[in-house]
Amino acid sequence: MSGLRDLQFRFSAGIFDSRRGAITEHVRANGLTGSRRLQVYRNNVFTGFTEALRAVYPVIERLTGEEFFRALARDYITKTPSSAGNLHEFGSDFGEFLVDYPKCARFPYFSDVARLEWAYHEAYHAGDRAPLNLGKLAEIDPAHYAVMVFELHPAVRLLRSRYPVKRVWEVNQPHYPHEPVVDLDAGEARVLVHRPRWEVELHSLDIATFEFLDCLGCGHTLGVATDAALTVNDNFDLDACLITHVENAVIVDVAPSAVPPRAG
Amino acid sequence: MLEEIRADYPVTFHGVGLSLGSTDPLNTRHVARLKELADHYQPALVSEHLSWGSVGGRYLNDLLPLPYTEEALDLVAARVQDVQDSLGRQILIENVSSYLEFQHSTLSEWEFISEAAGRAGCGILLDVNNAYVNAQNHGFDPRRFLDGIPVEKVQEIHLAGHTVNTFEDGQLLIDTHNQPVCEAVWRFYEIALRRFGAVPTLIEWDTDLPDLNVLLAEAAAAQGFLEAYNVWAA
Repeated sequence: MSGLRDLQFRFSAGIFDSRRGAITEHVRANGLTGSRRLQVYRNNVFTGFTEALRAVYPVIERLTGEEFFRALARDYITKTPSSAGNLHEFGSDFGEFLVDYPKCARFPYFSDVARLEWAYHEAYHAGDRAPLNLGKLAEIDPAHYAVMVFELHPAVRLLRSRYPVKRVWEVNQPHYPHEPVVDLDAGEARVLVHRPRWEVELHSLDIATFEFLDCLGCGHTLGVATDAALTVNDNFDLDACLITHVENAVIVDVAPSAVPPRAG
Repeated sequence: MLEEIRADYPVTFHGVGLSLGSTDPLNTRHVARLKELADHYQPALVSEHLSWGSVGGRYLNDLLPLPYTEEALDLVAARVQDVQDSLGRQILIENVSSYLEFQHSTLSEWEFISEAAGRAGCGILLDVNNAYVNAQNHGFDPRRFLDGIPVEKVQEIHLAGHTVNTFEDGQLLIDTHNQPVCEAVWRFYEIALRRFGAVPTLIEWDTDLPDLNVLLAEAAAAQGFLEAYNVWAA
């Protein structure tokens, strides 16, 4: 192991666990002690990660309170190594972390709210795509309809929860004008998170539309997606659903598929 | 949106995540994504910090200091070359603010960055605030830093505001990007312009953002120094 590599491992260990990483012997004291100087880096690293989490999870911060959130963030940061140089990728499994976080056990909906906030974050940073010209649909041979495969906008996320997470999100926005009251037993939420252009949008979907888009998003054919929607709602209106989601740029491209993907 | 901005203005890319000084293998996914962006948007300059931020696959997502040794020099020069080969273009490396120095450094910071840039064939992004911060934190004359950097290497300058942290045993300047450029750094910028010429300058303010007119006033102040230099040089 080279000197530099060893130094970097010990530096990193000393950041995440202040009892370890005796690299202070390699630091020039020069006025301030080596441990003081290392403490600045420890603060910077934890502050950087904490601010990244605060930026992505403002609703969770509001629900838990600022002080609690800082302690929660510290636990998460210590246990969850960042695996990318792009800080926007940090915090992806914060929702999973909350499922098993003992101090939040009384608030089982937190994890789904966090998943919604992560979906929002991903939608915000996803690439742009031009909407699909409806004329392109008209050019397709009707014989191919059933095996057509669609491409969804890269900013589209579909999220299902047993809690009304969209409502929780809305009443916890900074300028929500009413009492922030939510009936947690109001029933399941099916949310479309999308950013057609500049702004991220949240839409509640009915069960059939959710199944339909979820199937398309998984690469299934129009035939499979339509069957899935009809299974949960006999009155599913395919034409209206297609037009709506082409017009709002949820569906952004279409390709007749010779070999439909396997169902599953 | 960036496409529309790029159509009307020149754009530069500035990275914080390449971890150029890490002893881990170069993150090829990160480099590939950077290449995709750079190929698409064709920025005038691409820059990254002369620091490390990951080891053993774990990222600290911070700009951590290197020891200024031959070993570190060999490593960063080779990695900058790798990045340039992958991107198919030159990059600039930037001096960072640091809060500690290593006992076993055998070079000064300015020798280290100049030698790295010479060996790798890359340019230098001179952060005037970082050089000032380090001079204060480690006790050297900041003009020695400027004098040690080859004039022809500097293609971009950064300015920023820093914060003074006072401890029981002394002070450290922290590079916080959350306030106006201080008077001492403006004076130091003026000295830098006389050495390096009217180099394109960027003001970094990315935390606790003020009103737009405060930012515009900072940019106008920098522009004023650049124009004064042009008059002086003529």
